[in-house]
Amino acid sequence: MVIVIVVASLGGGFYLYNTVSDPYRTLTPLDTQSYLENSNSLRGNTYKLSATIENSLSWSPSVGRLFSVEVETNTGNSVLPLLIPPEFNQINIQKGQKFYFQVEVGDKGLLRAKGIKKV
Amino acid sequence: MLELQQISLQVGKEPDEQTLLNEISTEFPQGHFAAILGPSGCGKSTLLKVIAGLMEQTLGSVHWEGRNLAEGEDLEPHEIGYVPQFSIAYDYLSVWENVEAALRLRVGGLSNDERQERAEHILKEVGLEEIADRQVRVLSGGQKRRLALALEIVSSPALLLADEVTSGLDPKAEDEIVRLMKKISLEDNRIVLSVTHSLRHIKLYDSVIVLYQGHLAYHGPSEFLYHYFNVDNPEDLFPCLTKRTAADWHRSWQKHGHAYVIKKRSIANGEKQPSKERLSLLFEKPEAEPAPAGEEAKNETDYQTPGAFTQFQVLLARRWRIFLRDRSQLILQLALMFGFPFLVVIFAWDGLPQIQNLNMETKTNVVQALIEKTTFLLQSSHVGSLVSGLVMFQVVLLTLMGSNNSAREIAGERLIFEKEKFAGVRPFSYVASKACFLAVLVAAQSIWMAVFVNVICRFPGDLILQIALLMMVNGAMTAVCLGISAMMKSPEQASLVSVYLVGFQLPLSGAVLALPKTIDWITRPFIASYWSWSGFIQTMSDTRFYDVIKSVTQTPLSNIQLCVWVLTTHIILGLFLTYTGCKHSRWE
Repeated sequence: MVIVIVVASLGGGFYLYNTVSDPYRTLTPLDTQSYLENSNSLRGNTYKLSATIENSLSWSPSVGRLFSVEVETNTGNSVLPLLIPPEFNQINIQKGQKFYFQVEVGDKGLLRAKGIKKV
Repeated sequence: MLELQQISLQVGKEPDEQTLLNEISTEFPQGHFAAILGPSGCGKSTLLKVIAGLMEQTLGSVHWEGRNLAEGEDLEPHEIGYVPQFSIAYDYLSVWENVEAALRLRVGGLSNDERQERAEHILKEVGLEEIADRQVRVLSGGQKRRLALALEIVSSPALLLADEVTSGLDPKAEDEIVRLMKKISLEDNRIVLSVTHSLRHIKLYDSVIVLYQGHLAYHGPSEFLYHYFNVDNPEDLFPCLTKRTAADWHRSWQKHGHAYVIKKRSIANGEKQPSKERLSLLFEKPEAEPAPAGEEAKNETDYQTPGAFTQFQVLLARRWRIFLRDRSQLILQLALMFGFPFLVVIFAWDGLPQIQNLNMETKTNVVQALIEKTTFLLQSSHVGSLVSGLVMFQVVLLTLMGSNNSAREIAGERLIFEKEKFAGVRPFSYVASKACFLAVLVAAQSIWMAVFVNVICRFPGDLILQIALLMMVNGAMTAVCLGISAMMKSPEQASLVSVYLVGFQLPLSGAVLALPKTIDWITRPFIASYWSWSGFIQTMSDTRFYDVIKSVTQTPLSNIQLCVWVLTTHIILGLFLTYTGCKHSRWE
């Protein structure tokens, strides 16, 4: 009985640790190189993006917050634009913070956050 | 009939093996009142415990109505009563409440009127009807022993074992108790075996057993006791035993005992040439007329042990009654519940300070950017430490309350529980009643802590989730300490271990000082305060407070789901530990 409880608790804990700490682990990571070369071709797709906030570029109560984010790639760091829609207005975002984003590539290749998780 | 065949009991391992009982064979017919005598340490109480099934003999067997109890069915809880040396009644309950609770716990199938009638009858029988509404804590020693006997006869057991129930009583009270036991033995054809040091009422017993160093030195009529040992005064009996070895006494009784049996039988029958009879015939009484079929059936129904849920209800109601009557415990609980949140809020009486964020735009003025960053870091350090500390303070105080809730809960009444378990109370019902009682305390303490601190300090984040996490850490510590309480031998031990457990919570949580990574991984799963603290902070993850806490703490924060999972596991393991500890016998 003790063994069953211990195994169940460890198994459940391990599962939760893996699933909840990175909720977007099942999504394909955004290929930064492809995006920079032809963002339009990725339009309508959803990706996972691990990025660090670099700068606030613009803000509008109705459209949301536009940030430049830094993404690590094999060839070095790249900076991408990312729109955080107003439904995430309650989330405090500051410079240097790292996030996992669920992003959708929109019209004209604009990256729009559909989900946010602080790392 | 109760029959003991070659009962031996050895404890320890060679070469330190000790023989507590040595080849004891004897028997007791129905409706018999016997005393078990002997100097201290001769095995009197041990023999009683072997008969009761609380200790298992190494050799030999105990037979009840012809069936071997070790092989066949054991005695049903309602068939046997055992009155131990310690008090088995709750001090804060009245005499009536104790007897009524015992009836509800041990005898099923009674209507309220029948139960009331039976309780009245029992109290009248033991002479406590006049003081039925008096609380046990104000009773005299003799009255407490009467109550103990009353509690044991609620199910009309056919076998009643009394372990030194007259010790420490004044001569008058002792006289009353022995006469009461004699009276009880005369009812329902009951066997009553009483362990005693006293030889004052020797003539009241149908037979007397004398044990010496675990050997049976005598089991015969009380009137021949002094003749057999060749002493004139009762006080000379025990010194006389030291004149021969225990084995000698044993052999002597085996050789000459029969003559005493025959003598008694002859006197009883007025015979000149007695025939050889079995020892049991010596004490035999006329057979009672068989009860009418209907009445027998009714008695069978009366003696059913109540169901698990009924026992749970009775135990829970009794626990609340005791809690509300025990003023000192009530005041302590209220003081902790209302006082601890005040300790938290004095650090943030004016609410949490507001934080200025870093400028999100890249500045060309490097000096201004550096000043801004330094100011932000100082501010983060101050506010982050304050908020993290306030959360941890709530958590640690609740773990302290959890420990206080349950550390003595079972250990403090363990012997009474063992007695009730022996009488048919299920460990599951007992643990469930404790869990429900403590759950109410945990909920009240945690909700009040969370709401009060939130109102004063204005913590951001989901209040319901914060309440849940505080409740869980309190519940986890309460459950684990309840498990400790069920496992430990004494309330002092249980309190000490629980206090140590609380003491480890703050340093090992990593909230104040980051632990080395290896130690952190090993200890973290066991430190409930870390999971509650971490989960509580995660409820503020959208806010600046979360960001500043992250910037000042080196200990990684776990997500809420994982925190809830680990705390739930603590609660389940704590309750499992409690159940296991309660199932395990702890008479000593």
